[in-house]
Amino acid sequence: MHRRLWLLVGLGAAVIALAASGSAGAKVAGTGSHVQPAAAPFALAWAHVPRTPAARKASNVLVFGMEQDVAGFNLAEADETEYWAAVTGESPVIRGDYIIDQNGNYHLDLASSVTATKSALTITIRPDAYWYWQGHPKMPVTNADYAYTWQQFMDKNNNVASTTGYNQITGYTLKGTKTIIFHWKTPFADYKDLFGYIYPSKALTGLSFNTFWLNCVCGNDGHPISDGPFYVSNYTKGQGVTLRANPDWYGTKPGLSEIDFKLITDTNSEIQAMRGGEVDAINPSPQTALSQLRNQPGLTYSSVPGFIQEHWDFQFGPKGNPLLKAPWMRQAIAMGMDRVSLIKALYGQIAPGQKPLNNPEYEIGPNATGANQYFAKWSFAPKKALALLAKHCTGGPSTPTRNNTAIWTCNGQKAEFRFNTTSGNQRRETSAAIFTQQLGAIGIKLDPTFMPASQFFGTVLPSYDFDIGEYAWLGTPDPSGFDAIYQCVNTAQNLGGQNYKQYCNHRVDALIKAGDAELDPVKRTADYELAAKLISNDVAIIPLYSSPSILVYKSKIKGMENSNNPTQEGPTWNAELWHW
Amino acid sequence: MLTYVVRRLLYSIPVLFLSTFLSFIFVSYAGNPLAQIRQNPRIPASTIHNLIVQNHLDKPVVLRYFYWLKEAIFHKFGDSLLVAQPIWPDITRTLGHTAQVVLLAELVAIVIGVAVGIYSAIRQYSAFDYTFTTISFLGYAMPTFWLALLLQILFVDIYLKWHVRIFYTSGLNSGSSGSTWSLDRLQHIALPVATLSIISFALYSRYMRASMLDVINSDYVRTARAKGVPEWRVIMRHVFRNALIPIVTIAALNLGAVLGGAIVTETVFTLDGIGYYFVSRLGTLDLYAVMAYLTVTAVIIIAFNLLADILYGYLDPRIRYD
Repeated sequence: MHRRLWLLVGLGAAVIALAASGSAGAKVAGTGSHVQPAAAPFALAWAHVPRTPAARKASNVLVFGMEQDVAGFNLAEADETEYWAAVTGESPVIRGDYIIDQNGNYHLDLASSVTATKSALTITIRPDAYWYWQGHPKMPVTNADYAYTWQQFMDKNNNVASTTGYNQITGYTLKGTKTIIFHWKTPFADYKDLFGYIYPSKALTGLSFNTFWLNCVCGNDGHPISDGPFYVSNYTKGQGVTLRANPDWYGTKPGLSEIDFKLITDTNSEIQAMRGGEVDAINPSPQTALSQLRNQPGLTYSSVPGFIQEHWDFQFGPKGNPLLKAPWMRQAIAMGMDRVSLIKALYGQIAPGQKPLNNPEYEIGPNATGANQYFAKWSFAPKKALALLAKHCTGGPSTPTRNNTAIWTCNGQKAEFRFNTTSGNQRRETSAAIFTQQLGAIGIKLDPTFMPASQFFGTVLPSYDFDIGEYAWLGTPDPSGFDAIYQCVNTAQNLGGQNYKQYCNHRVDALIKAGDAELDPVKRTADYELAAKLISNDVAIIPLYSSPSILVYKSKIKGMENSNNPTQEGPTWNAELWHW
Repeated sequence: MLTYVVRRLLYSIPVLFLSTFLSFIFVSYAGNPLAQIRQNPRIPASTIHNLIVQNHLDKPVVLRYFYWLKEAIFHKFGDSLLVAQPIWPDITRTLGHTAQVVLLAELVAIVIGVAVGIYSAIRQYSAFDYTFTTISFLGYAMPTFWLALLLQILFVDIYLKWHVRIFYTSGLNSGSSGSTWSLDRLQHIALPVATLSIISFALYSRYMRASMLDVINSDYVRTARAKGVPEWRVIMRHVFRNALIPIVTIAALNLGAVLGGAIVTETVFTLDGIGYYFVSRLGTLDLYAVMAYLTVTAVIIIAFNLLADILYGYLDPRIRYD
């Protein structure tokens, strides 16, 4: 029998060797008809990447921790709109009319001028803008690329993520090779968010919008293409992305020759990789464990409010508790919630100084004037809340009392509300615990239900079947991102598509409509500000906080001081300035 | 034997069919893959319509199963549900990485577990036996993610204190060499291998000890000793070899299970393995990728169950297959 045993051992060794050879053959992901970059597997692409920060400094290379893998680099495709695709394959690689800075301000980038009138949008491309297409002579970025990009957005066979604004364009006129005039049926005031990236028309000839750039940012021969400071020289699924400096870029010469994004999906592992010098910078999702890095010598820790607005929705429709239709009840709820204490509990260690949002629209970036804190009047004031409730209801406590069990009854209805949010989210669980206790102290009962995101977003919100719901909105600095959130629901006209609370104020509607078509930025801001004020007065929502954007990097790296960009551009918006 | 294997393989076809069918139904009802897309008011109706038609999401679930089955059989599982990424290259790539880590971990665990099991049985109730019994139970009880994190912190602290990079804390490579058996790769997979080994070691050492104790008191061992056979020879030739048979069976079954993905370990260490692939696809409700994973896992488990049965008969001549 022992001979059989040794045979078995031999077989085991052979299996291990076989498995090893299998993994050795790990190839650049994807095959078949999809266009692939002419790149080596990750291990080979990284063969020269120095292992220590000191050696990387000497070689002008930077390693960046990347928290999520990329499903595809075509950000205009409905399923490829992820943040890390933008960070690695868009901001530093494919440029558009404007680039948005860390404060949410728009700066001309690929375009040298953009002029919007009531009938047309005229874009002139900077004369020194070229496509770098590896293995080809450099090609100018032309108005044909803009025309092609618009056509891609409007092609009904393409799974585009958004046609907003593009669908107001009726056609275009080419002027020379560098100017294009788009004609529109109605002006689109948020025109700065159009043409955020431009496709290279020649290089993409023969490729399908739904499948190109799945595993590369490349032309139809698989070779990398770029009009930004870097190009994607390698992408290996499940492992990382490599960017190399684009020699033909029009802007400041990149300070680094290479940026290597290494996939590390677990935040704790990311922290250890940062501590241990395996990576030089990270842009992690905000978690308490990051506090370990705040005072670590040799690291710079940056935290800024992000364009993510966590909030409470009240249900104004027939399926909601009728008490929530009463403004005084919503006001009492708002004043019964200590949002500052919630933010301290959630982000006190990783984003100290973070304040509650006091505007139903983003009040960060260019909107953070400090004068538009319309919601501040509903800040924590439990005694005021009790006085308000006592006017309309009976049976509640006379003073805010911890562990209070007396619940108000108003118009024969108990002040008890269904509170729905997503499960598996520690922040929302904390929020539910804190606010259930605080509102309980003033005689308002919350019944929290946590459910999978697919159920919450897929069923509960669209069916308007909740009293109070907590979730987040994610957007751009432009206020028009809130249109669908506050417009009265009108399915036929495709308005209010995200207004799950069924809030409706016709004055707000009119202001949104006016702001949407107003090309004068001052008048436009005034329209939106007034709308925000009315929404705050109505307590249509309770804005809670904005999730912080965190960037941690080695202090020896220069040029990253303004890189913590909370917009979709991400930290690589100014990657050309980074250097050791 | 051949008839037995063929029969078992034929039995496994309906098992596989039924398991994929049930999995498909359950996963389909786990959530709406278009829920996230529908949340975005800017996504045009034409895009949603395209996605529904392209992915047969307007058809009954049972019918969709057969669409999927056709893709699985004729197009190597086809493409992901929403993004047109082919699934098969992902499966082969990630399975290769998992196999490398898991087989190494099992090898380490078996060698150490068996050695400790033997010595614990020989020195039953000794300090060594008690120590390793405690360690085994600790290893068995320790949550994988916690053990993984402890190992990461330990080796980062070593690096910070002595500036010596012994092991990396995540990924498969960092450079310097692209070879699968390079020092760099081994430095990367050492911690996941250690994590998996510690857990499996606990299993093997306990089984080996129990199996040795079963055999060590049998008549033929007593006879061998009475004949004056040296003790080490009694242990190695008469006890060890016979005690190893159940371990081989357990190892084969265990290997089949962990090859399906050491999900937690791969996630913590960001190993591009099949378990991590499954978790990431499940998060996006990518039904077809999840189904591909479940099918491959089911095939692996069926195969290793069969292998365990065959090995048992191969090692123990008393076993005969009808």
